[in-house]
Amino acid sequence: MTRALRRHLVAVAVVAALASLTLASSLSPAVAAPARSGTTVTAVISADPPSLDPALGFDPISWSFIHASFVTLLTFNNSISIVPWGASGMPSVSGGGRVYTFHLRRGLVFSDGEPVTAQDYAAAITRILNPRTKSLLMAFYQIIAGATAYSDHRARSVSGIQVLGADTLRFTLVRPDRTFLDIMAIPNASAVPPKVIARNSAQFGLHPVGDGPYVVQSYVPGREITLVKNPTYFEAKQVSVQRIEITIGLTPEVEALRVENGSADVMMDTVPTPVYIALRTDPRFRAYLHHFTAIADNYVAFNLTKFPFTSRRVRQAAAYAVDDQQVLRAISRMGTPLTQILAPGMPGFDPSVEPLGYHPERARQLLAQAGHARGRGLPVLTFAVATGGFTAGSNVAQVVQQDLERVGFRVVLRVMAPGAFLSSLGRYPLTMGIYGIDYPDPYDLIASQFACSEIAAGNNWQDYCNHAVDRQLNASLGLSLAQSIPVYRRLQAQIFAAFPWIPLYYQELWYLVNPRIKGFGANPIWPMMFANWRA
Amino acid sequence: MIRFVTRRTIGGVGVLWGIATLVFVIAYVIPINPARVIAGRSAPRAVVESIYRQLGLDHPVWVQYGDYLGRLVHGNLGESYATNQPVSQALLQRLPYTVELVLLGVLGEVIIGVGLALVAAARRGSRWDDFASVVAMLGLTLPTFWLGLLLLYIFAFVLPIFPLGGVDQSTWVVLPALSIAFTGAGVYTRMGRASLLEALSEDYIRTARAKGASHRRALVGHALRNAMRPIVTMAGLDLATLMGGVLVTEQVFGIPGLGTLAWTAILQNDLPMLEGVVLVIGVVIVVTTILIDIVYAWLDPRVRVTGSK
Amino acid sequence: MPGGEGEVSRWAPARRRRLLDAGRVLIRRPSGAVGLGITVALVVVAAAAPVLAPHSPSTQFTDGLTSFGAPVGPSRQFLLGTDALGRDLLSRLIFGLRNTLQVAVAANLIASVIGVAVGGIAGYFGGWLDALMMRLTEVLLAVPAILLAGFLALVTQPSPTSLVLIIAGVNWYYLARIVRGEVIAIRVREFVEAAVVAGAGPWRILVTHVLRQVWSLVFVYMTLQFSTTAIFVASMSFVGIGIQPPTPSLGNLIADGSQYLTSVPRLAIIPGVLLAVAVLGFNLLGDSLRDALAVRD
Repeated sequence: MTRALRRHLVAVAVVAALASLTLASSLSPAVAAPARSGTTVTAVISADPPSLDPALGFDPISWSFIHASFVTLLTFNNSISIVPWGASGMPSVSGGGRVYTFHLRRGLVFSDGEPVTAQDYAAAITRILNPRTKSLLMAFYQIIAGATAYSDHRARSVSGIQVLGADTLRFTLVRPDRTFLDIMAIPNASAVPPKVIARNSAQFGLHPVGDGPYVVQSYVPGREITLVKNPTYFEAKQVSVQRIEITIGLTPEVEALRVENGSADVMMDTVPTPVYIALRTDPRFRAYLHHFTAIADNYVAFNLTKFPFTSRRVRQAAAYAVDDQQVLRAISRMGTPLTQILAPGMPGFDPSVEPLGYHPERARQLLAQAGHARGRGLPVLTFAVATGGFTAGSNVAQVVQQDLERVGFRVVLRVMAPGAFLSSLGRYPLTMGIYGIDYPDPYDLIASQFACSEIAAGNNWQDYCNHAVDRQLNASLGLSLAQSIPVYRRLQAQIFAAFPWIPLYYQELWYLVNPRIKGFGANPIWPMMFANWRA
Repeated sequence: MIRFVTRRTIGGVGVLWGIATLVFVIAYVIPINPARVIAGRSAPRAVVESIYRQLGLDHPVWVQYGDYLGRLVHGNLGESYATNQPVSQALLQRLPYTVELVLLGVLGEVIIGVGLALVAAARRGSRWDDFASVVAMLGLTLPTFWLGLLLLYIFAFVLPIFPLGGVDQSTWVVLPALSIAFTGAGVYTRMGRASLLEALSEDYIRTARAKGASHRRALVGHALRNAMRPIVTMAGLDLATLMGGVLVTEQVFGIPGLGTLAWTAILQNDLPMLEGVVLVIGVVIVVTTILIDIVYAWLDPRVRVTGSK
Repeated sequence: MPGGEGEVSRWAPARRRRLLDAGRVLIRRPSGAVGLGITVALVVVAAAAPVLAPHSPSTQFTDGLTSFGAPVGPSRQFLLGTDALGRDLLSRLIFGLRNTLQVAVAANLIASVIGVAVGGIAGYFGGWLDALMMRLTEVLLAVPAILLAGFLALVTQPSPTSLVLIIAGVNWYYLARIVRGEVIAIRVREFVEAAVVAGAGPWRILVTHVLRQVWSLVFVYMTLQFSTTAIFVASMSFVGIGIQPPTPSLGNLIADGSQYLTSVPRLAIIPGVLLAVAVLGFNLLGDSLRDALAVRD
């Protein structure tokens, strides 16, 4: 009997072995010959770019792709100055700074063969202003005369956009605004092919057709994006890499392993802390690591309209209570202490401003002066933090939590998925905040985070509202950049004196790139400059 | 039997209606304004309001519910709030990966699990029994994502046999399916062992043994058939729950399946996409459940008799 | 096994002696003794966590991180080293075990009671009641637990209670269906029919005859559910509910630690091993207890 059973078990084992053999025989070579052909680059990214449609993508990763596949009239060079690209030169400015006239360069062609005309640039901006497009950027372009009337369906076209021939385009603004050049240089202002848009505007981001250095050959959401060099791009000669294959959906840890073992060349996500700790001291990967400082602020926003942070003293106490060195260690020192609103790299950044520093005794005194000695009379404060791969965010939040509790606050963390987090803005007394620039003008960092109108728009996370500050900000738009910098320095000092934030840090972004890829110079506004890569 | 199948099919349609209703209720009570999600956080109020009306959210709840059911009946799952992609198109792109992974994973579970159960039941109380339990438990104790990362590290990085995540090579399914199979097999071993032992002590098997049937025949011929009942139930449930439950495995291995799709949808508050995933999984589950019931009825005629009473 | 205890105490006194016999058999078997030993040890550690833990589980020590913010290895001060924020790993493990046991036990208990009640009633009474209850479980089964939990996370404030209720709420229907299947098979058997002929009421038969037959299955299921629950808690932490930081649980210790698999393997492996030992103990105990109880036949 037992022998019979053993026979049976052997049979089961044989079946199992056969099954695994079948599997094994279907194996292709272990690591697919890594793309070593020289002109193909493989990259990995953890999630889909939010959109490849110029009207919709509004984040550094989407911009990286849109900038690779479309041409804007102007663009930012690597030192973030504005230079002409699709335009033959910088626009002529007239009408007291309200009228901008662009001339297109010759030879712009969409990859489906249609020539690019001034009308296509006009149509692209008009499309953003059309509410049916559901573009986040509508408010940006409402500086153009007649844009609001068009968006509200009171006009059938935008009066401030005039096409004066196949290669001449004129914009008239409602008031002088130097940042108009910036919003014509961000990738959203790219020309789009009208016939393709007419067929299917809503899903243009899944099948984009552009005129940039690369063509999106295929995009399977969640799986892969393949970019191939666009032979009809007007500067195609300067584009070196023939093909870029991007695999979507790996965790950052696995992405790093792929780059380490050579099955991928570029990790498009920033290196997470655990990987950084391991690679920082590893001589084999010294040449793989690239870094630069993001032009972005990381901070904890007080809700200025909610007790107890209606009190300046309480805010000041909280800001002094947090140990900035411990915060930096929680991000493995991939950053420097935040000293002011205008981040390093932004015109107007003042290197002489010192960090606030760690003064726990001072914090306790201030809290006592505010009538809350050792936290008496303070409610339990909810601290909203977003997840979604930002583990450093949650770790930093725990450092802040502990430091606040040491001086007498009671804090509970509420870690939420980004969607829920954004829906909860304004509900909690403390919010982990981050703001990355939309364009390199200091106006953006200050106005987006502190103008009263941005409370409803969802960027002013501390609900700061000072109409005197707003007036000066608005007036500054008519000045030149050089003239306005003293204004911004004064304003940021004034705002910081009210302690709207617990300042945290300016983050260093680290990337892992196979050293065979040259030209991985990061542009601080969109990290991937595909067209500059050489292999 | 035909009456039984008909009855179950009608029941299945009822369940689908129940799922659709549950999804609607949850989507309705969630304190998130879909129009705001679509428009983005910095959109002007006028845009949000226009989208709100486009979506029909200004209608009374029963009108919305009727519209919703009507759209579903016509197979229209709507478009993603995040990407504008038709939900049905996204589901079709993602479904094959999840189906392949789940089928192979459950198959592996059953093969490993029932194999170990046979070993354990055949040599009850022996070292083999203990060995089988320990192997089964080892799997059960390991979180799938933990095991998955370990497998990836060892069999894809240290020993580059399998691809390091993703689905760009034909062998992508091996490691994730193994991590599902190994962590899930324990349930089958333990259930299988319990049922086999129970069956072996049943009168009819004792009778068969008394009449001279071999231990092997008793175990494989009679007891295993008996034990297959809970195992079939379990495998069916696993197939069904893993359809959405492999989310974490898909994340670890970077597989663009339904789980990843649902996860992204949760992160982005993309309700139509989430509803679509839940509904398509619902359809798979309802069909599987009906099939299990039919297999049940075939394995054990008593169920059929009482079931069609 | 908490659910098991509940079932056992409902037994008639006459069965107590058999339970004692079963206990003897249990301890005589090595795997049973080991399982009992591990379980008792872990429960003691969890209960005495505030006394046993060398440090507070959430204190971030300045000397617990290198100047570059990397965790430090095992030392006199930190027996198992520190985690990514310079907290004592040993203390976090001890408190993590405690928190995990609390949530898992409470959630499993609630889920099992609901599951046995619904499955037993549906399976025994059949008819429209069965149809209704099974359709309900089918609807719920069709929504993957982690997605349902994610949905619920958006509408509830996270708290230990809501966590227990969500886990119980997404776990009972599996057991209900298994119990129902068994009850359907059992209720047509001779001894049940004999009881019906003898004039026993349906509830009495259900509780004294039918459910008695399935409870070993329930037992096995519950032991297995412990590990599933612990892992589920970790997955829920990803979705944004679950046990919120800085409170440790075995699940989120593993989830956070697994990112360090290649850089600080200790952080990934030690919590995994502790969870494995705990689950092994519970499973050995449950399995042996089941065998020991089966001896009574």
